[in-house]
Amino acid sequence: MPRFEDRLWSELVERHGAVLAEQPVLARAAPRRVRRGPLAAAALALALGLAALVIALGRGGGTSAYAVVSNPDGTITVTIAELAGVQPANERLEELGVPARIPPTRSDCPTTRADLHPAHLTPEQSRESFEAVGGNGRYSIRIDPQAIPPGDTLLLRAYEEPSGPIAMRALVIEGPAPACLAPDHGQTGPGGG
Amino acid sequence: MHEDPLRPDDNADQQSDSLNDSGAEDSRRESSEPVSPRLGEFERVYRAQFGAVASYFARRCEAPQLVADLTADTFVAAIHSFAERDPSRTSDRAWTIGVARRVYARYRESDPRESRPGLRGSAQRLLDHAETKELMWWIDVERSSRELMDRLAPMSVLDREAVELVDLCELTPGEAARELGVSAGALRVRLARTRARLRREGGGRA
Repeated sequence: MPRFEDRLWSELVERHGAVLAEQPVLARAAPRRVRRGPLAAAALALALGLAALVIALGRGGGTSAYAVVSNPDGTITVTIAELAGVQPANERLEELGVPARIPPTRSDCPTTRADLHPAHLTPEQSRESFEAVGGNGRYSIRIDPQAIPPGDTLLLRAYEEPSGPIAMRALVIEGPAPACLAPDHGQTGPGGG
Repeated sequence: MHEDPLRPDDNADQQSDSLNDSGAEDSRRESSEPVSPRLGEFERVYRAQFGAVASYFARRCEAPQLVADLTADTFVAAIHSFAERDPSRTSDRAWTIGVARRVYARYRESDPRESRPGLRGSAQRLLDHAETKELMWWIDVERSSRELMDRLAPMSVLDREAVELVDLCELTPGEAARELGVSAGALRVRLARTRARLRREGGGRA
Protein backbone atom coordinates (compact mmCIF):
# COMPACT_ATOMS: atom_id res chain seq x y z
CA MET A 1 0.00 0.00 0.00
CA PRO A 2 1.54 3.33 -0.93
CA ARG A 3 2.61 5.71 1.71
CA PHE A 4 1.06 9.13 1.93
CA GLU A 5 4.35 10.70 0.96
CA ASP A 6 4.40 8.74 -2.30
CA ARG A 7 0.74 9.32 -3.06
CA LEU A 8 1.04 13.01 -2.44
CA TRP A 9 4.07 13.18 -4.71
CA SER A 10 2.18 11.40 -7.46
CA GLU A 11 -0.77 13.74 -7.13
CA LEU A 12 1.43 16.80 -7.05
CA VAL A 13 3.10 15.80 -10.27
CA GLU A 14 -0.13 14.80 -11.94
CA ARG A 15 -2.02 17.94 -11.03
CA HIS A 16 0.69 20.55 -10.79
CA GLY A 17 3.69 19.09 -12.61
CA ALA A 18 3.07 21.28 -15.63
CA VAL A 19 3.96 24.28 -13.51
CA LEU A 20 7.50 22.99 -13.40
CA ALA A 21 7.67 22.33 -17.09
CA GLU A 22 10.48 24.09 -18.74
CA GLN A 23 9.97 26.02 -21.90
CA PRO A 24 12.97 25.14 -24.00
CA VAL A 25 13.86 27.11 -27.06
CA LEU A 26 13.57 24.54 -29.77
CA ALA A 27 16.23 24.37 -32.41
CA ARG A 28 15.00 23.17 -35.75
CA ALA A 29 16.41 19.88 -36.93
CA ALA A 30 16.80 21.09 -40.49
CA PRO A 31 16.99 24.83 -40.98
CA ARG A 32 14.56 26.00 -43.58
CA ARG A 33 12.78 29.24 -44.29
CA VAL A 34 9.65 28.21 -42.53
CA ARG A 35 7.69 29.87 -39.82
CA ARG A 36 8.84 28.95 -36.41
CA GLY A 37 5.90 28.00 -34.31
CA PRO A 38 5.32 28.83 -30.72
CA LEU A 39 7.97 27.72 -28.32
CA ALA A 40 7.22 24.45 -26.74
CA ALA A 41 6.22 23.79 -23.22
CA ALA A 42 6.90 20.42 -21.77
CA ALA A 43 5.28 18.92 -18.78
CA LEU A 44 5.88 15.64 -17.14
CA ALA A 45 3.35 14.07 -14.87
CA LEU A 46 3.77 10.74 -13.22
CA ALA A 47 1.18 9.24 -10.98
CA LEU A 48 0.89 6.12 -8.99
CA GLY A 49 -0.39 3.94 -11.76
CA LEU A 50 -1.55 7.03 -13.55
CA ALA A 51 1.22 8.78 -15.33
CA ALA A 52 0.82 11.68 -17.61
CA LEU A 53 3.57 13.09 -19.67
CA VAL A 54 3.27 16.19 -21.71
CA ILE A 55 5.76 16.90 -24.37
CA ALA A 56 5.47 19.87 -26.57
CA LEU A 57 7.06 20.30 -29.90
CA GLY A 58 7.56 23.30 -32.05
CA ARG A 59 5.67 23.15 -35.28
CA GLY A 60 6.88 23.56 -38.78
CA GLY A 61 10.47 22.94 -37.84
CA GLY A 62 11.33 21.13 -40.99
CA THR A 63 11.04 17.79 -39.24
CA SER A 64 9.13 14.73 -40.31
CA ALA A 65 5.67 14.22 -38.90
CA TYR A 66 6.74 11.37 -36.70
CA ALA A 67 9.62 9.06 -35.83
CA VAL A 68 9.65 5.65 -34.20
CA VAL A 69 13.22 4.60 -33.59
CA SER A 70 14.48 1.29 -32.19
CA ASN A 71 17.44 1.90 -29.92
CA PRO A 72 20.30 -0.57 -29.38
CA ASP A 73 19.32 -1.02 -25.74
CA GLY A 74 15.88 -2.29 -26.70
CA THR A 75 14.03 0.91 -25.98
CA ILE A 76 11.89 2.69 -28.53
CA THR A 77 11.87 6.42 -29.07
CA VAL A 78 8.64 7.96 -30.33
CA THR A 79 8.43 11.49 -31.63
CA ILE A 80 5.28 13.16 -32.92
CA ALA A 81 5.98 16.47 -34.60
CA GLU A 82 2.67 16.82 -36.41
CA LEU A 83 -0.71 15.27 -35.80
CA ALA A 84 -0.57 13.71 -39.24
CA GLY A 85 2.15 11.47 -37.85
CA VAL A 86 -0.09 9.85 -35.26
CA GLN A 87 -1.50 7.11 -37.42
CA PRO A 88 1.75 5.99 -39.09
CA ALA A 89 3.55 6.10 -35.76
CA ASN A 90 0.84 3.98 -34.24
CA GLU A 91 1.12 1.47 -37.05
CA ARG A 92 4.88 1.33 -36.68
CA LEU A 93 4.57 0.62 -32.96
CA GLU A 94 2.23 -2.23 -33.77
CA GLU A 95 4.65 -3.61 -36.35
CA LEU A 96 7.45 -3.56 -33.81
CA GLY A 97 5.34 -5.37 -31.25
CA VAL A 98 5.68 -2.55 -28.74
CA PRO A 99 2.86 -2.51 -26.17
CA ALA A 100 2.20 1.14 -26.81
CA ARG A 101 -0.47 2.73 -28.94
CA ILE A 102 -1.54 6.19 -30.00
CA PRO A 103 -5.29 5.96 -30.50
CA PRO A 104 -6.74 8.76 -32.58
CA THR A 105 -8.39 11.55 -30.65
CA ARG A 106 -11.88 12.26 -31.98
CA SER A 107 -14.57 14.44 -30.56
CA ASP A 108 -17.18 11.80 -31.41
CA CYS A 109 -15.30 9.02 -29.64
CA PRO A 110 -17.30 7.52 -26.77
CA THR A 111 -14.16 6.58 -24.81
CA THR A 112 -12.99 9.26 -22.42
CA ARG A 113 -10.08 9.34 -20.07
CA ALA A 114 -12.44 8.43 -17.25
CA ASP A 115 -13.07 5.12 -18.99
CA LEU A 116 -9.42 4.14 -18.87
CA HIS A 117 -8.13 1.85 -16.17
CA PRO A 118 -4.66 2.96 -15.14
CA ALA A 119 -2.29 0.13 -14.39
CA HIS A 120 -1.28 -0.24 -10.78
CA LEU A 121 2.31 0.85 -11.10
CA THR A 122 4.55 2.50 -8.60
CA PRO A 123 6.01 5.85 -9.69
CA GLU A 124 9.28 4.01 -10.25
CA GLN A 125 7.64 1.47 -12.52
CA SER A 126 6.01 4.27 -14.45
CA ARG A 127 9.31 6.03 -14.89
CA GLU A 128 10.94 2.83 -16.07
CA SER A 129 8.17 2.25 -18.59
CA PHE A 130 8.69 5.55 -20.33
CA GLU A 131 10.56 8.76 -20.01
CA ALA A 132 10.79 12.02 -21.82
CA VAL A 133 13.97 12.67 -23.71
CA GLY A 134 15.02 15.67 -25.64
CA GLY A 135 17.82 17.39 -27.40
CA ASN A 136 18.61 19.11 -30.65
CA GLY A 137 15.17 20.57 -30.68
CA ARG A 138 13.38 17.23 -30.60
CA TYR A 139 11.46 16.09 -27.58
CA SER A 140 10.30 12.53 -27.53
CA ILE A 141 9.17 9.67 -25.38
CA ARG A 142 11.48 6.74 -24.90
CA ILE A 143 9.65 3.54 -24.11
CA ASP A 144 11.10 0.49 -22.45
CA PRO A 145 8.78 -2.28 -23.67
CA GLN A 146 10.27 -4.70 -21.17
CA ALA A 147 9.22 -2.49 -18.28
CA ILE A 148 5.57 -2.44 -19.27
CA PRO A 149 3.84 -5.23 -17.37
CA PRO A 150 2.43 -8.01 -19.57
CA GLY A 151 -1.11 -7.24 -20.58
CA ASP A 152 -0.75 -3.54 -19.92
CA THR A 153 -0.41 -0.92 -22.62
CA LEU A 154 1.33 2.40 -22.70
CA LEU A 155 -1.27 4.76 -24.07
CA LEU A 156 0.07 7.80 -25.87
CA ARG A 157 -2.20 10.62 -26.88
CA ALA A 158 -1.16 13.38 -29.17
CA TYR A 159 -3.15 16.56 -29.38
CA GLU A 160 -2.79 20.17 -30.26
CA GLU A 161 -2.49 22.58 -27.40
CA PRO A 162 -4.60 25.74 -27.69
CA SER A 163 -1.36 27.68 -27.92
CA GLY A 164 -0.26 25.67 -30.91
CA PRO A 165 2.32 23.04 -30.03
CA ILE A 166 1.72 19.35 -30.33
CA ALA A 167 1.57 17.71 -26.94
CA MET A 168 1.54 14.11 -25.88
CA ARG A 169 0.31 12.42 -22.78
CA ALA A 170 1.35 8.98 -21.67
CA LEU A 171 -0.49 6.62 -19.42
CA VAL A 172 0.05 2.97 -18.67
CA ILE A 173 -3.34 1.29 -18.67
CA GLU A 174 -4.61 -2.16 -18.00
CA GLY A 175 -5.42 -4.15 -21.11
CA PRO A 176 -5.36 -3.04 -24.71
CA ALA A 177 -5.68 0.50 -25.95
CA PRO A 178 -9.12 1.77 -26.98
CA ALA A 179 -9.81 2.31 -30.66
CA CYS A 180 -10.07 6.05 -30.12
CA LEU A 181 -10.23 8.64 -27.39
CA ALA A 182 -12.36 11.70 -26.84
CA PRO A 183 -10.30 14.84 -26.31
CA ASP A 184 -9.85 16.21 -22.84
CA HIS A 185 -11.26 19.64 -22.18
CA GLY A 186 -9.28 22.18 -24.13
CA GLN A 187 -7.55 19.66 -26.34
CA THR A 188 -7.83 19.56 -30.07
CA GLY A 189 -7.63 16.13 -31.57
CA PRO A 190 -6.24 15.15 -34.92
CA GLY A 191 -9.60 14.50 -36.44
CA GLY A 192 -9.58 11.02 -37.79
CA GLY A 193 -6.08 10.66 -36.42
CA MET B 1 15.60 16.28 12.28
CA HIS B 2 13.48 13.80 10.37
CA GLU B 3 15.44 13.40 7.19
CA ASP B 4 15.46 9.64 7.25
CA PRO B 5 13.01 8.44 9.81
CA LEU B 6 12.12 4.92 10.55
CA ARG B 7 8.77 4.23 9.10
CA PRO B 8 5.71 2.29 10.10
CA ASP B 9 6.03 -1.25 8.92
CA ASP B 10 3.04 -1.26 6.60
CA ASN B 11 5.19 -1.51 3.55
CA ALA B 12 7.34 -4.36 4.69
CA ASP B 13 5.87 -6.59 2.06
CA GLN B 14 6.69 -4.23 -0.77
CA GLN B 15 9.49 -5.29 -3.02
CA SER B 16 11.38 -2.05 -2.76
CA ASP B 17 11.27 1.35 -1.20
CA SER B 18 10.98 4.21 -3.61
CA LEU B 19 13.45 6.27 -1.64
CA ASN B 20 16.10 3.61 -1.63
CA ASP B 21 15.76 2.08 -5.02
CA SER B 22 16.70 4.95 -7.26
CA GLY B 23 20.14 3.79 -8.34
CA ALA B 24 19.01 1.90 -11.38
CA GLU B 25 16.76 4.74 -12.43
CA ASP B 26 19.51 7.28 -11.98
CA SER B 27 21.82 5.28 -14.18
CA ARG B 28 19.10 5.10 -16.81
CA ARG B 29 18.57 8.81 -16.73
CA GLU B 30 22.24 9.67 -16.99
CA SER B 31 22.19 8.68 -20.61
CA SER B 32 19.42 11.02 -21.60
CA GLU B 33 18.37 14.57 -21.10
CA PRO B 34 15.36 14.76 -18.77
CA VAL B 35 12.54 16.81 -20.19
CA SER B 36 12.10 18.71 -16.98
CA PRO B 37 15.14 18.95 -14.73
CA ARG B 38 13.13 21.23 -12.50
CA LEU B 39 10.74 18.39 -11.80
CA GLY B 40 13.65 16.24 -10.70
CA GLU B 41 14.99 19.05 -8.58
CA PHE B 42 11.62 19.61 -6.99
CA GLU B 43 11.33 15.92 -6.21
CA ARG B 44 14.71 16.04 -4.49
CA VAL B 45 13.52 18.93 -2.34
CA TYR B 46 10.17 17.23 -1.70
CA ARG B 47 11.73 13.97 -0.62
CA ALA B 48 14.27 15.68 1.60
CA GLN B 49 11.82 18.09 3.23
CA PHE B 50 8.61 16.08 3.44
CA GLY B 51 9.42 14.99 6.98
CA ALA B 52 10.22 18.49 8.14
CA VAL B 53 6.93 19.80 6.77
CA ALA B 54 4.88 16.91 8.14
CA SER B 55 6.55 17.43 11.51
CA TYR B 56 5.83 21.14 11.41
CA PHE B 57 2.12 20.44 11.12
CA ALA B 58 2.20 17.41 13.40
CA ARG B 59 3.35 19.76 16.15
CA ARG B 60 0.22 21.81 15.61
CA CYS B 61 -2.48 19.31 14.78
CA GLU B 62 -3.35 15.92 16.16
CA ALA B 63 -5.69 14.97 13.32
CA PRO B 64 -3.92 12.98 10.60
CA GLN B 65 -6.27 14.31 7.94
CA LEU B 66 -5.43 17.89 8.80
CA VAL B 67 -1.70 17.17 8.86
CA ALA B 68 -2.13 15.58 5.44
CA ASP B 69 -4.13 18.51 4.09
CA LEU B 70 -1.71 21.15 5.31
CA THR B 71 1.31 19.18 4.13
CA ALA B 72 -0.28 18.83 0.72
CA ASP B 73 -1.18 22.52 0.64
CA THR B 74 2.41 23.38 1.46
CA PHE B 75 3.87 21.40 -1.40
CA VAL B 76 1.23 22.68 -3.82
CA ALA B 77 2.24 26.21 -2.84
CA ALA B 78 5.89 25.21 -3.08
CA ILE B 79 5.53 23.81 -6.57
CA HIS B 80 3.94 27.07 -7.72
CA SER B 81 6.68 29.22 -6.24
CA PHE B 82 9.58 26.92 -7.02
CA ALA B 83 10.80 29.13 -9.84
CA GLU B 84 11.16 32.03 -7.45
CA ARG B 85 13.32 30.09 -5.02
CA ASP B 86 16.95 31.15 -4.84
CA PRO B 87 18.93 28.19 -3.49
CA SER B 88 22.05 30.33 -3.26
CA ARG B 89 20.35 32.43 -0.61
CA THR B 90 17.93 30.04 1.06
CA SER B 91 18.41 26.43 2.04
CA ASP B 92 15.81 23.90 1.02
CA ARG B 93 14.77 23.50 4.64
CA ALA B 94 14.36 27.20 5.27
CA TRP B 95 12.45 27.65 2.03
CA THR B 96 9.98 24.82 2.62
CA ILE B 97 9.44 25.73 6.25
CA GLY B 98 8.80 29.28 5.13
CA VAL B 99 6.12 28.03 2.76
CA ALA B 100 4.67 25.87 5.54
CA ARG B 101 4.49 28.85 7.88
CA ARG B 102 2.53 30.85 5.35
CA VAL B 103 0.19 27.96 4.63
CA TYR B 104 -0.47 27.54 8.32
CA ALA B 105 -1.03 31.26 8.77
CA ARG B 106 -3.62 31.20 5.99
CA TYR B 107 -5.22 28.15 7.55
CA ARG B 108 -5.48 29.92 10.88
CA GLU B 109 -7.04 32.95 9.26
CA SER B 110 -9.67 31.05 7.36
CA ASP B 111 -9.94 27.35 6.92
CA PRO B 112 -12.02 26.55 3.85
CA ARG B 113 -12.26 22.96 4.99
CA GLU B 114 -14.67 24.01 7.72
CA SER B 115 -17.19 25.50 5.35
CA ARG B 116 -16.60 23.47 2.21
CA PRO B 117 -15.68 19.97 3.26
CA GLY B 118 -14.82 17.67 0.43
CA LEU B 119 -14.29 20.38 -2.13
CA ARG B 120 -10.56 20.63 -1.91
CA GLY B 121 -8.23 18.99 -4.33
CA SER B 122 -5.61 16.39 -3.64
CA ALA B 123 -5.34 17.26 -0.01
CA GLN B 124 -8.91 16.43 0.80
CA ARG B 125 -8.88 12.85 -0.37
CA LEU B 126 -9.53 10.61 2.56
CA LEU B 127 -6.58 8.78 3.97
CA ASP B 128 -6.51 5.05 3.94
CA HIS B 129 -5.48 3.03 6.96
CA ALA B 130 -1.79 2.87 6.13
CA GLU B 131 -1.59 6.57 5.38
CA THR B 132 -3.41 7.41 8.59
CA LYS B 133 -0.97 5.22 10.46
CA GLU B 134 1.94 6.91 8.74
CA LEU B 135 0.73 10.36 9.70
CA MET B 136 -0.12 9.24 13.22
CA TRP B 137 3.48 8.19 13.46
CA TRP B 138 4.62 11.72 12.64
CA ILE B 139 2.18 13.07 15.20
CA ASP B 140 3.49 10.66 17.84
CA VAL B 141 7.07 11.57 17.05
CA GLU B 142 6.28 15.22 17.60
CA ARG B 143 4.61 14.63 20.94
CA SER B 144 7.64 15.82 22.92
CA SER B 145 7.96 18.81 20.61
CA ARG B 146 4.36 19.70 21.28
CA GLU B 147 5.17 19.68 24.96
CA LEU B 148 7.92 22.16 24.27
CA MET B 149 5.52 24.25 22.22
CA ASP B 150 3.10 24.22 25.14
CA ARG B 151 5.84 25.54 27.40
CA LEU B 152 6.60 28.25 24.88
CA ALA B 153 2.97 29.25 24.61
CA PRO B 154 3.10 32.02 27.26
CA MET B 155 6.02 33.67 25.52
CA SER B 156 5.87 36.11 22.64
CA VAL B 157 5.16 34.88 19.14
CA LEU B 158 8.63 35.91 18.03
CA ASP B 159 10.31 34.06 20.88
CA ARG B 160 8.25 30.95 20.22
CA GLU B 161 8.96 30.96 16.54
CA ALA B 162 12.65 31.63 17.04
CA VAL B 163 12.99 28.55 19.20
CA GLU B 164 10.89 26.42 16.93
CA LEU B 165 12.63 27.41 13.73
CA VAL B 166 16.12 26.91 15.14
CA ASP B 167 15.69 24.10 17.65
CA LEU B 168 12.94 22.07 16.02
CA CYS B 169 13.05 22.94 12.34
CA GLU B 170 16.85 23.15 12.37
CA LEU B 171 17.16 26.39 10.50
CA THR B 172 20.30 28.38 11.15
CA PRO B 173 19.82 31.50 13.28
CA GLY B 174 20.46 33.56 10.16
CA GLU B 175 17.76 31.71 8.22
CA ALA B 176 15.33 31.99 11.10
CA ALA B 177 16.07 35.69 11.39
CA ARG B 178 15.30 36.23 7.70
CA GLU B 179 12.12 34.22 7.99
CA LEU B 180 10.98 36.23 10.98
CA GLY B 181 12.10 39.55 9.58
CA VAL B 182 14.52 40.41 12.35
CA SER B 183 18.26 40.83 12.45
CA ALA B 184 20.42 37.81 13.18
CA GLY B 185 21.72 39.52 16.30
CA ALA B 186 18.24 40.19 17.60
CA LEU B 187 17.25 36.62 16.94
CA ARG B 188 20.24 35.26 18.83
CA VAL B 189 19.37 37.44 21.79
CA ARG B 190 15.80 36.17 21.75
CA LEU B 191 16.96 32.59 21.43
CA ALA B 192 19.34 32.85 24.35
CA ARG B 193 16.73 34.58 26.49
CA THR B 194 14.00 32.09 25.69
CA ARG B 195 16.21 29.06 26.18
CA ALA B 196 17.37 30.43 29.51
CA ARG B 197 13.78 30.95 30.59
CA LEU B 198 12.89 27.40 29.61
CA ARG B 199 15.81 26.08 31.61
CA ARG B 200 14.81 28.13 34.63
CA GLU B 201 11.31 26.78 34.41
CA GLY B 202 12.80 23.32 34.26
CA GLY B 203 12.25 20.06 32.46
CA GLY B 204 12.50 18.76 28.94
CA ARG B 205 14.29 20.19 25.99
CA ALA B 206 16.01 23.49 25.50
